[in-house]
Amino acid sequence: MALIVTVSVTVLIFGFIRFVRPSLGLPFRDTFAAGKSNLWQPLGGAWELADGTMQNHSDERGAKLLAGSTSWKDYVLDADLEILRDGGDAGLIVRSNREDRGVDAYDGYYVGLRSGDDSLVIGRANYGWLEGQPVPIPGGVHSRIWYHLKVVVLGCEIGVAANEVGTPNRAWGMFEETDCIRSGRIGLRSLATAASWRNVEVSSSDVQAELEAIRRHAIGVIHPDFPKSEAAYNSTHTFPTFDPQEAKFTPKEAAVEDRSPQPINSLVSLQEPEAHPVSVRGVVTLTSPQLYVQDATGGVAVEDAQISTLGIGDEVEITGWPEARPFSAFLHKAKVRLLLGRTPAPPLAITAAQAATGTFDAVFVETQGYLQDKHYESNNTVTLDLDDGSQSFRAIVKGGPSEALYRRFSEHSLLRVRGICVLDKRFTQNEVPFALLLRSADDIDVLVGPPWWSARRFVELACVLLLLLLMVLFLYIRIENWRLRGILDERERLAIEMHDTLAQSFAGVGYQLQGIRNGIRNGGPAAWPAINKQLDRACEMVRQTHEEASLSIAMLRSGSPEFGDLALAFEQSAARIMQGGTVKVSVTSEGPVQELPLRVTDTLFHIGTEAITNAIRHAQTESIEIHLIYGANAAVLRVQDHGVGFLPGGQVRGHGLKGMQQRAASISAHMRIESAPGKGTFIEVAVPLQSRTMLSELVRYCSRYVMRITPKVGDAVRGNDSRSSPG
Amino acid sequence: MFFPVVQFGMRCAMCGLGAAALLLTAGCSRSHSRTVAVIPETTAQELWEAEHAGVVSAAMGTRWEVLWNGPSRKDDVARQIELVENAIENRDGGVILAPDHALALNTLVRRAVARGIPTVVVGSPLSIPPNPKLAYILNDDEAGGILAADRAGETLHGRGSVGLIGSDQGTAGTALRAAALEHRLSVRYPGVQVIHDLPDSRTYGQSLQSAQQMLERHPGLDLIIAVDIEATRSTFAALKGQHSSRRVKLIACDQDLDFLYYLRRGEIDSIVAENTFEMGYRAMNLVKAGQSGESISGKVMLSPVLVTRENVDHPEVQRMLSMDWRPTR
Repeated sequence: MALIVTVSVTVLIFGFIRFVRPSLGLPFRDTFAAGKSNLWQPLGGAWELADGTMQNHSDERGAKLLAGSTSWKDYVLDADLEILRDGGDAGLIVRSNREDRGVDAYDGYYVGLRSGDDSLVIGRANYGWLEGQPVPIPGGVHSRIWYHLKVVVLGCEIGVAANEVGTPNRAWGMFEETDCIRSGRIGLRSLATAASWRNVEVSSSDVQAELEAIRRHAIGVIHPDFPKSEAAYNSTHTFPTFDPQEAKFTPKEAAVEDRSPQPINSLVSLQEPEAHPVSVRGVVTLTSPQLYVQDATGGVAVEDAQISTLGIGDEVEITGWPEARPFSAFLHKAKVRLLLGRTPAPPLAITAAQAATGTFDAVFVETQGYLQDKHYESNNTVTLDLDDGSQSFRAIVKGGPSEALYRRFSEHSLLRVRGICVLDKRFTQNEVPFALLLRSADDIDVLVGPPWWSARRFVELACVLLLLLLMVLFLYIRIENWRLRGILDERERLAIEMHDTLAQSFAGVGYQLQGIRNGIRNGGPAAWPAINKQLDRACEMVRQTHEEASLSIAMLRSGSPEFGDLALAFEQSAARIMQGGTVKVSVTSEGPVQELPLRVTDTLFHIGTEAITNAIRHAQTESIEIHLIYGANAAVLRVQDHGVGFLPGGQVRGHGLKGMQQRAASISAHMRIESAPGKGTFIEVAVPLQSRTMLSELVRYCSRYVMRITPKVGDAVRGNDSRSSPG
Repeated sequence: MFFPVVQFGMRCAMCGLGAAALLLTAGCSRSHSRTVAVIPETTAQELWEAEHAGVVSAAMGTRWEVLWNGPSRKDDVARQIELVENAIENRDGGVILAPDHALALNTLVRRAVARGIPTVVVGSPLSIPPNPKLAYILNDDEAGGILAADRAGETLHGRGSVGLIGSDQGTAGTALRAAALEHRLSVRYPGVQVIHDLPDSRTYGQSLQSAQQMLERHPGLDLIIAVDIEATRSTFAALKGQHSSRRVKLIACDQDLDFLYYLRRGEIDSIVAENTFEMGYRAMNLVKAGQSGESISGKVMLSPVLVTRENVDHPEVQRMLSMDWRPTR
């Protein structure tokens, strides 16, 4: 039942998710043109929506932006892409799983355009990289040119068609892997270059036809087995030679006077405007909303520079006119010379108080603070108000891949943010001492979620507690009702018992006394013999009633020897009933004697006593055998005599059989009577008992488990001790 | 009236907590995972791809899965720390780490060892002594410096001037190389003059500037020894920029694919290559031994190899530069 409920709930939840997130199904189309990208997840890089395209401004190796579902199997992925700077490669990921930050940190396939050897690359990533033989692209792979990629995945085959948009330059490739990945997400990826993507579409229709169309053009099928050696790689690949004739990768000389670069922090000490431009060398830390460059001594903001070809992480030489500001400098009318495409520099970890001093103005830093508020601006900018206890500051992200990502940052969460520290009034509005200009949403990490003791949580907790209290009250009242009902039932039973025994006996004694009184008043001396008989009978009845009452009380009192010991009670009862007669009574028991419920004990005692009485007074037997069986799930009483017997179903008076049956029925016992004239009487009463097996088995299981794991715990403790001990 | 109910509830809670604690404690025994986290100094240098190939070569045919991931730049220590933390958290069956920093990773490595994860440090050492769960397979930087010095001395026939680029990078390995190199030149080739680069040449731009100034100030320079990959790349660009690559010879330390390409073109004289393939191969075997309960304590120094145009295609050298990594399962 529980399984059915669980499965049903799961199905409903998944159904609901599919209903509210229809874009996880196919077909899929990006919404970059509308300025939205809520379903994309970045892993590294500096992603920004700009001009209807998704751009990565970082030169990070293996920056990824992922979307879709890991259940997507066979599909056609179409996209346009543009490499923003020579060098590196950019492309698309298909059938991706287990992604992490890192160059090949995913399990899937990559299809890309590589400018280093002007080729189309198809390969398998599995926290490692294996590629097929690269396919040359006619006309080469150049920066600032749009290419269209069509990737078809079907079974274990991948077909790729690449073409330079607006030209006849086309290339096709077929890739096949034997033990392939069958499903996975899609993604955008760049390696050591900045790049743009647009018109990303995924469709599951006409997959076979699209693959066949590519197969017709592709030359052979490549496999993920290349390269295996340096010699093989360098026999087909080329690298920038920096020769003058190879203009593509030769660092471009800026059309400025060749000046010796100086440390960036030296610009702050300039007392008056320089008469000549100055040069600095450093790494690009941010390109939007402004270009920032830093070296080991500090950072500088650069204005009026041509930055369209720069990516975060590029090493550059900048020549411009410096202007000293209170904490850092600006370079105006700057000209930029690219030295080397690199991976972004790691941030400098500082406190908010240190950032507020201005020492780290224009430097790429990392700090943390509690989120106080967040604002979504109309110009696609997100501002987070943060406070670390000593300083309030802002984190500003322009663009970003997904507005939805910011929604997961709850107020009062502890966030770690990385960005360019600026004290510029344009960003601080003089409301906070500094602001951080973040490169992307990937620069925000949630260190600790919001505290649980928020007002909302308190209300939720109060509601839950109230609910629990009501449940406990309800249970308590129910239990009290059950207990009261039990007491009333017992009282009723005792009342009936008293009516059947004591009241009847007193009534009999009353009749005898009434007869004696009448005899004394009316009979005279002639009636004395009869009166004597009546007196003897009355005395006998009082004695019997007293003994019965005493025995019943003894059975019910926990302090008496008979309490809980039916065998002893039967022996004493039989002796009393026989009054020294010659009938042999034997009482035996089988199984471990256990404490039966009081009501059961009392009922069995009365049934047994009635049976003994019947056997002695009416059956003319010479022996009675009483046998008790204590089982795990039942208690059984058997009384056997060897007397005259009777005919079951016949007219039997005064044997109390009906009363015995009623008593048995009151405790849900099964009663069996076997008798025949001259063959004695056999009575059996079987009382079902509540099973204690489950509880005892559970205890046994737990004790066994504890015994089993205790040595392991000991080993673990000893192991930790030995490892932590010196030497 | 609530007392019995509360008491019962507390008993249940205590039993639950006790059971949970017992289960957790029982689960703290050593990991039986067959995943090894291979964390290079950076994934941006093919030097460490050969280590990856070595690990894969040793893991081939076993049930071990190799997870190779590292920082995308050499000085991103924070990312290395994060990756080691992930390996510990995931209770991986082993860690093979080429540390970016001699001190910053000590705590994490101690933690991995304390969790019973066999850990092998390759390339550069940490300050933790070897123990049954921790081993070192290191590059012999002093031997590398001597190899470069001998090559320079022989190339110049004992007379000339040698520029040293990248010696002030602040890392132990490069400092050892530079010291051994200078000592060897002064002892065995006293006719060779050593010219030092500018101080604080840590980035490509600074290294490039240093090399450019050295070439301008010493027009008669015969040979440059670049003590690491950054220095080699910037020196090569400076030589090409000043059209001096044929006149001034370049000896590189540590290999990258483009350096081997330039070596084959005759634009780099030779490369003192670290045997990272062997490091990875031996490290993986140690992880397997450690996982089966054996002690892996020890420290091995692997000598680098001088790669020239003459021996680059030798099978032993090609094995050392292997790029043959493939899924092991």
